[in-house]
Amino acid sequence: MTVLSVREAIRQALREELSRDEKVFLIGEQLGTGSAFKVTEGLLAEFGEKRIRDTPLSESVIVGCGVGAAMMGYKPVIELMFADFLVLGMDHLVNNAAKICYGHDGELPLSLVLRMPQGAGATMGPHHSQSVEAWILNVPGLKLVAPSTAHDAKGLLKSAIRDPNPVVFLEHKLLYNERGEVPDAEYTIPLGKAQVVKPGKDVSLISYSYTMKHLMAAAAILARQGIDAEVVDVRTLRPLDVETLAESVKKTSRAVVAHEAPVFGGAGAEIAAALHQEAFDYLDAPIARVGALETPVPFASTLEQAYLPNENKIVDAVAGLLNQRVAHAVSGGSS
Amino acid sequence: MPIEKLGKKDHEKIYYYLYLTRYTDEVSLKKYKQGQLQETVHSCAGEEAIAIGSGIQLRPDDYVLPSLRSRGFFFVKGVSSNEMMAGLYGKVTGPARGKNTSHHMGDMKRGVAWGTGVIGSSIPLAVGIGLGIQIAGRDSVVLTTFGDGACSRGDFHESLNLASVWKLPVLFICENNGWAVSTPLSKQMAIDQIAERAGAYGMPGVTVDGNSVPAVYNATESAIRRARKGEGPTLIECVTYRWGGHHAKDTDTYRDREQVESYKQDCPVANYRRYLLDHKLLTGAEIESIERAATAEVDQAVIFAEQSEAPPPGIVAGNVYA
Repeated sequence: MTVLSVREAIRQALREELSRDEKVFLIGEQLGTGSAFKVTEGLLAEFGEKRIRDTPLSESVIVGCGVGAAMMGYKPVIELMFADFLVLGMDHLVNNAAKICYGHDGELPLSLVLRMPQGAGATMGPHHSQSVEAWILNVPGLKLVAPSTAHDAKGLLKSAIRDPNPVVFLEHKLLYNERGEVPDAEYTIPLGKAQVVKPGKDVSLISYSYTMKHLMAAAAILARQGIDAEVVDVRTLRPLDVETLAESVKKTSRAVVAHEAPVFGGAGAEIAAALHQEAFDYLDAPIARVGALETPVPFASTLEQAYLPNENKIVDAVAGLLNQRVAHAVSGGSS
Repeated sequence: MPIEKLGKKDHEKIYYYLYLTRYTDEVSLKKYKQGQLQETVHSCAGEEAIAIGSGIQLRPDDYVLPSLRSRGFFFVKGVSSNEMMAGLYGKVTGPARGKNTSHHMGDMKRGVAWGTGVIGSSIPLAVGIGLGIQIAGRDSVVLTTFGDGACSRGDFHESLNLASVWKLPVLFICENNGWAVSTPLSKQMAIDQIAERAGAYGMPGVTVDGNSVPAVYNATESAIRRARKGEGPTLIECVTYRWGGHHAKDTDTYRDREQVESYKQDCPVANYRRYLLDHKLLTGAEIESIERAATAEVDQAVIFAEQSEAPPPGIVAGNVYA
């Protein structure tokens, strides 16, 4: 085991897959210098400019070119600098990548990875802070992954690159510096499997990506007040592991789904609907959802923090499910 | 080599595909009007010389990414009339068992890259195919067609730029037929020739008579040679005219009927027939024999399509993922 940052873990995954399979190449802006978050730093020197391809500022053709190369049997790992820019290349992701396998009735699988930094909390303003998973969750043909740890980021990215389908890989910009243990030996984590990261019995706290930190903080606050939360990391949003999530909710009978994107039409809505479907008879309360406010991401720190979900908002949601008062963290505020 | 150096067999092939494309178009429009087809026909009548004059030169290891109006490419790349007609009818024997239309079908094994229904969005895919060719160190080329309308898309500009910077083996062929649905050229751009845009991206651009197989053939021939040598992309603007509406549902009431009829006098099929006879490349009897064979092939394809089954609903959910 080695302790790595999420950034290092992702870089390692890229390095290992570039070494393992000559069909893999990276394409995007500023990859040679590591782009905005230094993820690809060093890879150009190691693999050369034929494998690490810097492009002009052309998000649409970057994604479209990746699709075309994938049609030729290559495995492009496309980077868009910020998930907010997804919309510039969304035609090629949604209308081409997602539909090529079906449009050839299975004769032409389309394997590529589109990885993007997303998320707020760095005062980067409305166009460099969004969470975009809900924008593409509704597109059959895509897979969608959002890891929360270095261990998961490396294992899931390797699986994503090897997957014969188009996979969108959402990295949270505040997670890049987070450190965690990563096995030294070769490993992958299968897509489509959620994970119970902390077992519990009183309520299921479900999320993915950076919001997992708020879940764990909320679980600690709840534990001090005798409420035993089970914490579940969704990890892959499509295909969604409804079985693991339902198993948790059947055990606890209450659930809060949290994410950084706004609540209305967010991924939490799909998760909640699926859980109501699968576990209705086991529920003592409707599934609660916690997310950002229904606004663009504001820039200044006090506004941004008011906008975002946090452990206190999650604790408040749990209190609502239990119909009891639950205190916040040390400051003593409560629901 | 230029068209002047081609032999008799080559000219027979060219005329065969030209006539096959024209007759398929006529039959599909007729069948569409009779309510027999599921696909909305995008007639390529009057524009056949572009697909055939360029496409006939493609090797099996070359790729084509056709526009919505370049049916001839499918035939030169080996797609059968049966499959094409079954596709128009929406039958299970059509492309992708009915999951995709015939005019956007793809089959990479035959060097046909699927076209998207979003006009202009196929151009970046061709750039990616060109990149795949370059990475593999092959001397293959990819040829993509698009109309004048597509040249106003951002994807057109981003693609020409990137293909030039990376010197990719892409032939960007514009079928300039003067109309983007109901918008004439004068309302689409402030320049006179689309080929002018090539210089903005550092690639050669040429404008040719799109109704002349020899003109299209020779311009394509030198662009293919350039691309195979690794010298990069070319923009070829083929000036032609759209005989029908944008597609079969387009009532086309926005164009002057007399103007349309006068443009139809410059027929690419008739032009090439005259070229063959004038240069004594084929006799009138040989030409008629080719026309009879092509006609029979299409008529047989109609029977095949009519007798084919509809796609069974049971297959609808399969093959979304690999």
